[in-house]
Parts: sequence; C-alpha cells; structure tokens
Amino acid sequence: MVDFSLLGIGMRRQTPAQLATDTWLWTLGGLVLMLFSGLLLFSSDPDMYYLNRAFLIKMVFFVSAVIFHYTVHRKAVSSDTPPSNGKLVACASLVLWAGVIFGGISIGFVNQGLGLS
Amino acid sequence: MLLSFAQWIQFTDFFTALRGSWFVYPIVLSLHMVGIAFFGGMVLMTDMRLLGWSMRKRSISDVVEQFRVPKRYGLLLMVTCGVLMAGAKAEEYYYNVFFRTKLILLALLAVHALVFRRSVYADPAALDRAPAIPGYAKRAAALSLLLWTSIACCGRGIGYIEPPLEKIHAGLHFVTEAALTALNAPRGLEHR
Repeated sequence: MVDFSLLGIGMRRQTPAQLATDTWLWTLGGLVLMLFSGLLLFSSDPDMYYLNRAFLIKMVFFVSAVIFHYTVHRKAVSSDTPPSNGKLVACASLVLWAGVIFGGISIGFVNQGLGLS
Repeated sequence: MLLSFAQWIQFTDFFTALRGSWFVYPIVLSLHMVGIAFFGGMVLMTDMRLLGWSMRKRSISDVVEQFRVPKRYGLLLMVTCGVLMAGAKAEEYYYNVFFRTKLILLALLAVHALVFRRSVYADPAALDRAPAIPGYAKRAAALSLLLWTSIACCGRGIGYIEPPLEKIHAGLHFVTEAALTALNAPRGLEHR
C-alpha cells in the first residue's frame, strides 16, 4: 500500500509517510510471522530446500527486499514531502517482493538440486 | 454433467497449452499469489479498520473508499488467474475437496457482500457518524476475515491433493465394462 501510494496509484488522501506510520506495526508483525513460519517450513525438509535453486533465488530476493525496506524505503517515506526518487523506490520494492513470491512458487516446480554432492 | 464439462474444458487447445508449458502454470500461480498479497492486504486493512484495530486516526469512509478501486483490480487479477488454473486442471480440481470447499466459501462471500452491502459498505460515512463502530460492521469485518483466510488456506491445500486420475478412469472403465458384460451375458436357460 505504501508502495502504491508512492507511485501515486490509489490512496491519494494520505501521504506515503502517513500510510507508513499507520501500517508499520502490521508490516513488522507480518514479517515476523513470515520468518517464523518460513523457518518451520524449512525445518520440515531442510535437505530439499537447501539444494533447491528456486529457494536460493527466493532467499536472495527476500534478504534484498528486507534490507531495501529498512534502508532506502524507510528513508523515502520518512518525510512528509514526497521524495524525488519515490517512484523508483516503490517499483524496486514491488519487484523485490514479487520476486520473493515467484521464487517461492517455483520451489515446488524445480526438482533438481544445485548439483552439489 | 459437471464432470464432463470439466473434462471437455481442460482438453481445449488453450488450456492444454497452458498445462503443457513448464513455466506458464507457475507464473499464473505466482500472479495469483501476488494478487493475494495485494488484494488480501487491502481486505485485511479494511477489516482491521472496521474492527477498530488499526488506522484509527483515519475515518472509516476514508479507508473503505480509498481501498475500493484497488481491491477490485486485485480481485480481477485473482479471479483471472484462478480461472486460468482451474481450466487447465479442471478434472483434477473436480475431485479435489479443497477446491470444492474454496468454491463454496466464495459463494458464501458473495452472500456476505450482498448482505452487508447496504449497511456497511455502501455508506461508510454513516459508520463514522455513529459514536462507536456498530456491532454489525464488526461482524461483517470478522466474517470477511474468517472467510478470506479460510479460502487462502484451502487454496494452499489444493496443491497437496492429487486425485489419481488414471485409477479413477480405469475404475470407471472397469465398472462400465462389467455392467455391459452383465447386461449382454447369455441367460442360462437359452444355452442348452
């Protein structure tokens, strides 16, 4: 929602900064839930996930997305005035998180491992 | 009859190509998930506002009306992806209990939308004017959350059931063969 507000699509009545302050707690909660359930899922079949190329790609996207969110993205929504690179930041954020989703779905469709051992 | 419709639709050229390609189905599924992130997030926020648990500084009419249009786009994306996937694997989904439950829940959601349209969604400003969020609005939000979460869980479960189509087909074949043999078998008295 914050990203779409930065892009200027929908939610025009609030600035991105206001939306970010409204939703940061839910964002953090969601992230914690995802981390927790993700660890649980991974522990159910660690060998398969460790060797799965799509899982690796997903983790790369995920780490990038989280780091991006708490650095560049946070700076972009910190002030009430819309930042100059707002659209770029929003697009990058959306692409990174969409990459996490695509990577996650592909895990089930990629059967060969990384070719290790 | 529904089964034969499902069998027919999955063998049309379009859906056979969709099913045969190794990357199209995962992409459609991923887009469906992106739609869940998008649409589901908005449903969550709207319901949280109606329950009074989030974004309390914003008026209800603000939240409901601003999310309305993006929610429709998100729903359109999800339904399109859903139809594409269901068409590609129609017969498998016909036997899949999670898929059937999902369809029932979607029907229930349509009922929910009809029931609460006039009181909650059509005029959110009235909810702002009330001294506290009325009970029916909270019930609408809670029901909506419950139904959508169940749909998401059932949707996840669809992939974990693989109906054994070959056995089902073989079973039906066996039953029809046996029935035809029994019907055409010579009667004992005629063969002397």
